Amino acid sequence: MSACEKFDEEKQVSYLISNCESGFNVTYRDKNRTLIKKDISTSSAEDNWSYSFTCKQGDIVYVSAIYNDISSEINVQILVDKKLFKQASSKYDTLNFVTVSGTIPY
Amino acid sequence: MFKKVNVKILILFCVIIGFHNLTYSQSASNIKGKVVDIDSNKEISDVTIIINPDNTITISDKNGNFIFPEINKGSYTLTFTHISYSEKIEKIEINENETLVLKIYLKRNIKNLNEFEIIKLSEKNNHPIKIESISKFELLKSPNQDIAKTLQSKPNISVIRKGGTNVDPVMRGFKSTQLNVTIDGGVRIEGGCPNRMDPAISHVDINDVEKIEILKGPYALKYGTNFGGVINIIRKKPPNNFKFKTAVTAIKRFESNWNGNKDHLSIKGGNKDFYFILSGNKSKYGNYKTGDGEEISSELDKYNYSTTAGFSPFKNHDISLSFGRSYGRNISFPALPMDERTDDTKVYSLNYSGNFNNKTLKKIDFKVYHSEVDHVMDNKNRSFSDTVVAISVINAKNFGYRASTDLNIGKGNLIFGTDFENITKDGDRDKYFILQPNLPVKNEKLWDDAWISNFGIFTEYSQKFNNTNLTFSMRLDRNTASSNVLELNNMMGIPMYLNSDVDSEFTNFSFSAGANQNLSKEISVGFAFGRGVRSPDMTERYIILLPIGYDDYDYLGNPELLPEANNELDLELKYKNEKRGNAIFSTFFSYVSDYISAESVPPSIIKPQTAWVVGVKKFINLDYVYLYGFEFSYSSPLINNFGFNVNASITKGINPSATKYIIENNQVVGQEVLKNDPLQEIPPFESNLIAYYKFFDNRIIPEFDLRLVASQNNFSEAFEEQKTPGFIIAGFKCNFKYNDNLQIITGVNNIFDKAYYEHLNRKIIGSSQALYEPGRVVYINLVFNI
Repeated sequence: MSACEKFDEEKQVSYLISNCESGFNVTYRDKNRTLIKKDISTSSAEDNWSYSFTCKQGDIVYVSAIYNDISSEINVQILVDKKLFKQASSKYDTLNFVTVSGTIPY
Repeated sequence: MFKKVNVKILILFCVIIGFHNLTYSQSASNIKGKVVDIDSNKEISDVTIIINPDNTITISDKNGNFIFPEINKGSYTLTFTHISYSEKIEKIEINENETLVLKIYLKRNIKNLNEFEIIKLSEKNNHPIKIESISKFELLKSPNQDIAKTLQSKPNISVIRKGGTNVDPVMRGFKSTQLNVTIDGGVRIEGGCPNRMDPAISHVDINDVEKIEILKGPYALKYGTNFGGVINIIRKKPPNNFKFKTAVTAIKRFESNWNGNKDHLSIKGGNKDFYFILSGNKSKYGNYKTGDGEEISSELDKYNYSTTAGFSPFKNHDISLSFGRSYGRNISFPALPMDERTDDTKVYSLNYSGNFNNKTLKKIDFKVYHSEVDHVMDNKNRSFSDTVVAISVINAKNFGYRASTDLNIGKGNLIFGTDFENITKDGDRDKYFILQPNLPVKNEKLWDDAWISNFGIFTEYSQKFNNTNLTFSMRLDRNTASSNVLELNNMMGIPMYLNSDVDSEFTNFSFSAGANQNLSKEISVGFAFGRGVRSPDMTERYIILLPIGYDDYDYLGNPELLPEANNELDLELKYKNEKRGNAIFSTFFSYVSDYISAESVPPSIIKPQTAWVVGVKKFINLDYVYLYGFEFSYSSPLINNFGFNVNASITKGINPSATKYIIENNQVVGQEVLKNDPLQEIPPFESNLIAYYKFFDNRIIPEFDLRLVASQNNFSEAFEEQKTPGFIIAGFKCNFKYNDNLQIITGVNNIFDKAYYEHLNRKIIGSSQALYEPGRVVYINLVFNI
């Protein structure tokens, strides 16, 4: 089943991870609805990671991250058409994933 | 031994002689005559002659001769109609054993030729109780664009509402596959959704319908298995004109409240050798507001196109091919766990109809069809999609045929034939756990390559004996079904439920008998008895855990279910008087054996898969339940252009021994037996009044309607139903026929903006609040004919 059907409106989706100076592991759902895992290195809290793609209403968007440095923190956001759709953050917690997800509203 | 046999033969002989005398001992008067052209004095053939009150039809032969044999003495009205002549009405009186000879003169009226078209409808029905119908004109005037909702104007028909559209009919307490919903007397569609968000009736657009026939009871057995009644949707057919002619119809409809727009365009044409119809519809509606201003998520987007083309290789023989596709997009069902995301439906049929009109063989009909529904639904607009997004994809196919032959046997009419239906269904649900690491996805089967085949043979015999019409019908079905193993695994792939005993075979015998007798010119009585047997459907046999009932349970199919049988008795009394109006009172009693219901299964056997339900219910057979009720309708005569219709009806259903489950902390903790618990989803007493006035030679007809529904105090405790308050709503509409090209229908539904809900409306999902009906709706239909 394809969640992106031609009758649905296209949306610009961006995953944005910021405020993490220690590097992190990210898992996200890409434009092909495939789950991608990456290790991201950062040298400072100003180093942001982002991934943008177009999707259609009803599609599932998913991004999840975990960092390794107990003294670090992270902010995970999903933007739809440049507006904040969902976000979550974590501080000094290397045990739990920070997951942000949902379906693009109709 | 020999004496016993002789006695039996003697009794049989007496019965036969008695029956023969009953048939032929009546006095026999005859009416015969000749129809001729008033100017040329030439005989006119093919004049249709109707004699009333018998309502018998004959046609003049090539010499203009006609005859009505074996008529009782009395007064009659003869109506003569012919395509090229003006209609003529003759009133006559005939005495006992008299033969009346008439010579009828008709005046030529050529202009009628241009207006004449033949629309081939279904074969004539010999139903022992009244066949109710809704014509295309009534459908056009209907304040509702949902076909099933228009049926509600008939007594003892209600609908189950789960969203803004696609309501599901309930007739005399029978619903879903207990009713035989057929298209053009033989085409079937298996809806995709297990929660019946797309019942078969929803796959046909109201603007493509010529007529809907409603045959209550298990009596009409020639359209397929019939348990509780038949709803036959007859689609518009291409016309057979004498000369090639085309016609275009365009309809534009607007409904306030939910900003509903609906467009229709059809082009039809042809001559006596070739004909076609092309039709398309598009509907887009938003959310509606209830009477107290609450907005209900009810948006819908539907469109469809269809075509039928046919030809007559020989006179009175027709071959036609139909094809249609319909689409549903983003249709909201706030009372279901999911909304319809997409629905793509294809329906193909090939039809042959041959009218032989010889001494024995009257007609042969053959129809073969294929329908396929691809249905996708999800919970993305539900609050619980924040944690689990569920997407279901279902494919349902139906293939079948129907062949029937219509014969004159003696003085009676015999129909026999065969039909076949093969349903296949496969569906999956993917659950995305979107807040868990690595986005785990669980795949569950809803149906796993399940199929049901039904082969049937049927016969129907009808004969008129003086004032009595007798009808007998029988049907034998061979029903077989299977599926892949019913299996449910957990996230680790370990089976939580396994049932490999999935095959079933049944041979079902159904029959019916009925009689109508004219006690006088004005009063007639009807009697019918029948037994309709239905094998369990796809959901009842093979569904794997979905919340599809009114109550909060996941339902589990049971391949070991037995067929249920409806043993029904009907009595009908009709009164017909030109000055006083027409009235019909009918009453019925149904004893349903092996009634298909459901019982709770302990969590140790299987756990529910839906977050908000309290447990699992598995389909089972109950020993018996019974239903009874009545219908009354009255149509006044037209007096000074004013007339009115009124009807009233009620059905009651009783389960003598029901099980109520005690719920605490969202779990089943006990049970108790309830004696004589009402059956679930039975509507309360209802009455409808329609009053109208005809202005300017019927060109303007304002109509006022009032619908009174009593509170439902007889609700099923076993199925967690609750009392429903009664209500009265009023509506108004006006039909204005400007000319032959333009007709305007406008009206207001629920004039006083009443906030109300029907007893059969489902609850808003995740709450105990019923789904309310729309508040005030102002609508307008513009109909253009070229």
